[in-house]
Amino acid sequence: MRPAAKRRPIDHVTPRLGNERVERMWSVVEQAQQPSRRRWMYVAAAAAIALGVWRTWPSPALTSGDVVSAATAVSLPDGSELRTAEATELRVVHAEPEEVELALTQGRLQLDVSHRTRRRFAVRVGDLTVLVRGTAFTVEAKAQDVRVQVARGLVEVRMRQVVLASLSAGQSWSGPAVAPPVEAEESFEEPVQAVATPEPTPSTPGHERRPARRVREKPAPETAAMLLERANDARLAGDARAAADLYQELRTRFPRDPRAGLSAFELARISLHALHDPQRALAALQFALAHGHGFAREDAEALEVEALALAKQDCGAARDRFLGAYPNSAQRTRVARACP
Amino acid sequence: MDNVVRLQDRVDDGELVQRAQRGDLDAKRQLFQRYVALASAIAFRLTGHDSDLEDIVQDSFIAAFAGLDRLAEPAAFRGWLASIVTRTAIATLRKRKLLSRLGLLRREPVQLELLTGPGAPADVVTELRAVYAALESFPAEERVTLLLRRYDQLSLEQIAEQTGTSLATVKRRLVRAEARLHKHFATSDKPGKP
Repeated sequence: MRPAAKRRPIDHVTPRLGNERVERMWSVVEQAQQPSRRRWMYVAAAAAIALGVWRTWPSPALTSGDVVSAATAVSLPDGSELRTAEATELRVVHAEPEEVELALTQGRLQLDVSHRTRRRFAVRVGDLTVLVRGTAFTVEAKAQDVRVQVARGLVEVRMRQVVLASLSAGQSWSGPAVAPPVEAEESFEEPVQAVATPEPTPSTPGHERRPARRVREKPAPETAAMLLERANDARLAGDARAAADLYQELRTRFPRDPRAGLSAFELARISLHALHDPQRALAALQFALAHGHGFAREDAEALEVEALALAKQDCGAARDRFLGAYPNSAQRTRVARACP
Repeated sequence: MDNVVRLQDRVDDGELVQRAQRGDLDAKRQLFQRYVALASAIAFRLTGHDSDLEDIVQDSFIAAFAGLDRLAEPAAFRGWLASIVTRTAIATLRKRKLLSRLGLLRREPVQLELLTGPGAPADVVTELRAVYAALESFPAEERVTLLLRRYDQLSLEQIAEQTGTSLATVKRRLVRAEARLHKHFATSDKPGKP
């Protein structure tokens, strides 16, 4: 520490760092150093210790309409396993083998999601949606804020239809659960309708039957946001060709929309890695780099080197530009390997 | 002198990095403990937001440990980590700005009351709060360049190294940021302005 007389004004700007906070940060960093299975066991153990004791019910299966309001460990019809901490409020919106949707109002939810290619698995917190492939992760809702931490697999965090973050093992995301009012040219809201469930069924300890469920109506004219959602859904369902066509449609029909640049980037990624079409990827990247919004630029430029190499075009200049612009990039090795 | 307890010698960074490069988790933990305060301070000072701190620090250490093989000079871990934290903070600021523009993130003002510690003199508190409030509207790169130069008092070369840019870019950003700051205070000093 600097002597008081020599302290600069900025030395007074100091974060509050307690042992607990440091340990919490280390546990995330440490998870990322572990092989995946061990990491999952570590997270489960750490979460159990942090939360006190998990109360384990005789593992009943949850069904659509159930509400979980206590610490419990249950399974879902698609084979996924779910654990909630004390004082958690969770509603099971859909629990079908092909679609699982949970709505977390408050508390902490830990999931080990079974891997199914055609199944949509989503956790909603306010306006936020966490979309899941076969994954182990934790969602915590505290007041208006949400924290998502991934132990294994891949998770996508969306605010309404817009992707805020794609998280892989060891990564976390936090932010507000509710989107602010938007003065936009189009509505993000999807119409929903309440439909009464005909027969109530007996409740199980820790969760009880809820009388209504939400079903979607088909929206009217298709907006950029809707196209993006369809494209993302197709991508998460593993239908790369349909996803690519939808991303392409979005950037062609709504070239000035803020989502167009990101769509072009996604199109490039899919074209290159799933469809093995480097020419299409290069065309999309040209658009993405011209219309993107900065934070995906490094990824787009790395992808461009890869696409040029696969298209058997001269990738040297793009590679040198990338390595010069991002000397410490995490993608440096990948870029150098793609274009030796 | 049997009752003298010998303090364990501090292992230098180079040795810890070499052990970490071989996958030694304990060495990584020691590096984390040694530099978590530094990383947190950089993240907090550059963003002004405590809510982003943990993500920036965690992401930076994960990236640093994943890329240890690229660190040619193991003893240079401190500076290398600082540059990773700085670039992660810039990326976070840019992302926040974009999401705010899209209406997907609440535009939270910097938490001025949480910014400075209790021992800070009143004039320093006033200055820092005014500057951080002004910086909220700055592009991320200009904001970071200005803070590193004006308040962290780094040399232009050090800023270039820490932000991963050229010296010319640092100079250009600094000129723009100073002009922006001057304009901000000139405008806010006019009668009728807050």
